[in-house]
Amino acid sequence: MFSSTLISISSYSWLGMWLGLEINLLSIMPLMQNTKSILSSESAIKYFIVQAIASTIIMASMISLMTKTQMTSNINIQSTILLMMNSALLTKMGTAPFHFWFPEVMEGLDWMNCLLILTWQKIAPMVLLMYNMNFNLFMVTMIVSSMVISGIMGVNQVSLRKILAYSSINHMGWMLSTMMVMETIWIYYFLIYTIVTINLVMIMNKNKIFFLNQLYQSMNENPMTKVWFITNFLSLSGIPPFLGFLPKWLTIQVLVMNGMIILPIVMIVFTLITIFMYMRITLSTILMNINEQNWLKSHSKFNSMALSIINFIAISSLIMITILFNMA
Amino acid sequence: MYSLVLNALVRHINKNKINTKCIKYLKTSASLDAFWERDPKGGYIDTREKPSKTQIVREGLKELKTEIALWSQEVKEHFEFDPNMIFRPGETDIVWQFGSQDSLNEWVVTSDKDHNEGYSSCSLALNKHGKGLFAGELSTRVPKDGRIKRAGYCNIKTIRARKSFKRETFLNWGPYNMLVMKVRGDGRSYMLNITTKGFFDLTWNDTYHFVLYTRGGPYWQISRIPFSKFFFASKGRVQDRQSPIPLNKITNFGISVGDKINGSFSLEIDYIGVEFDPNHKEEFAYEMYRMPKYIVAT
Repeated sequence: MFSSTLISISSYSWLGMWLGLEINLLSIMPLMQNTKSILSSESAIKYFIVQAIASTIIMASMISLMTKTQMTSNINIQSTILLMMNSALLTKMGTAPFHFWFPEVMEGLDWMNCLLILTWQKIAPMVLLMYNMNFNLFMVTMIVSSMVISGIMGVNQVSLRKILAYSSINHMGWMLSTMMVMETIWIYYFLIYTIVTINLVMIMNKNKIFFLNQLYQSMNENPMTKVWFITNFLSLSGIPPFLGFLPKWLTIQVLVMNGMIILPIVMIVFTLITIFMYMRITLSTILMNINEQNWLKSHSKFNSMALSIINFIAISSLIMITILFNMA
Repeated sequence: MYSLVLNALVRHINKNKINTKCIKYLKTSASLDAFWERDPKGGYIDTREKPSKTQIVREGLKELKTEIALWSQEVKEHFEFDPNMIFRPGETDIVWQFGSQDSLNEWVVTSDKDHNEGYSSCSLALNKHGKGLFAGELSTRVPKDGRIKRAGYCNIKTIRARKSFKRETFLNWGPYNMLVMKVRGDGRSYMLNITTKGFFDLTWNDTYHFVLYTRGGPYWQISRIPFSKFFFASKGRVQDRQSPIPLNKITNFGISVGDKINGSFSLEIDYIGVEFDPNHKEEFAYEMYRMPKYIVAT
């Protein structure tokens, strides 16, 4: 799985990139098989079908490009064929309006597989998309539709996996906008998003939380769990004192410096809806405590060193990075 | 062909009075060679007359107004929904309640008499107190045309939940972990069936069962059954690989009687609801050992 993404990224021709994508798909299939849950195989089949169709479209557009131009890495752009290829790559990532498979597939998988789909599986299609990236109407439409759909569909959710799926669609929109202007900011955005997502998924995996009402009772055993969950969740929303604000800040700054003003305005306005959703959840998590009887309360200590370190990075990074930037 | 040979063998054994202990190892039911399902209805054909195309179009247009109203209501609910106020612990959210005549339209009543496979009869009606009454007569007499070996079941099942414009959807019971029923039975055991019909043909008959024992007395019983206690079966065959119910993919809920006792039965139902109990932490009640491949079922 790791090598497949690396093959995809470091390849010189489209064929190698497509090869990496296919190996990626095949390698993740056995990971999704979970004998404990029947629903996971249905999710795995849906994931396979979607990704295979997208790979086929990429192959077809690649061959069309080859017949139109010489097959080198510097492609004289045939805009309609590239539109097809970009659509297929966006499908692979789960960006709106090709997002319909994403929440359903996430719903059927356990947390570790969700983490893989949310973070690692996005690297290869994103990097391939960067080779085709132009500031055109198509890309702007994709970005705006990601924002709108993630805002509207995310509001009514009860399942945490679906909430993370819709937030991922939102962040894909932001990442696409960064790719249009400066790729290094995409790397920062993706790294920070990965750290925050890993934190959240590890907490929820440990406490076996899948739904909102389970949130309010499972985290009362250890206060640090609650604090980490809240900081990471608000980080995802992009509110200033948290780490998640940094990539959004950089994105908006770079977009405005390049003269695009309306696009960041639209993005910010629709992200407000997702912020509302996160705030509602975190407020309830902070305030609500479902009472349990004493004999069922477990006084377990939180013993994960790795999670503590990653959370420390997540909480203190914003201040550290601004200090570093000012010192340099 | 295989079953004919075996039937002949069994008759031969009976005639010559061979030691009958070895008969239990002879399999006389149809063997399951493939998992492929031809038909979601399992071969039972709907023989009702379908109306003509123009009539269907006309009736569909009449329903357009109600469907649009339903859709706009769904959109409003989508934005007004607050998950904190809805799934509160300790509160039972009632899903089906028998109070009015309309509530009976949500249930489908079947028995083995429908396709001439038996002689049991049943009905679902409101009794004089306004509660639902599922009653009838169970008969295990097998019709003598050789198609089936055992008979005697009666069943009620809910219709599939639909969104606006007749889109089929699932009942999402993910935030809950208990099924609550207020019933008054007659001492018989009733089987509760939660169907999670999937998209693929292998999963068309996925059902989770639980046996509800009723007391039979004059008092109502409120049974709280955790979803972790339901076991997985398909077409009546309990599967080896068990797993908990996928609570977000529930299609139907049903109650059936098939406890091989001839006679009348009656079950009064007040409501059926779901609840979230934070103290119930069991994920699944049944053993999940991996058995060797040659052991099919114990």
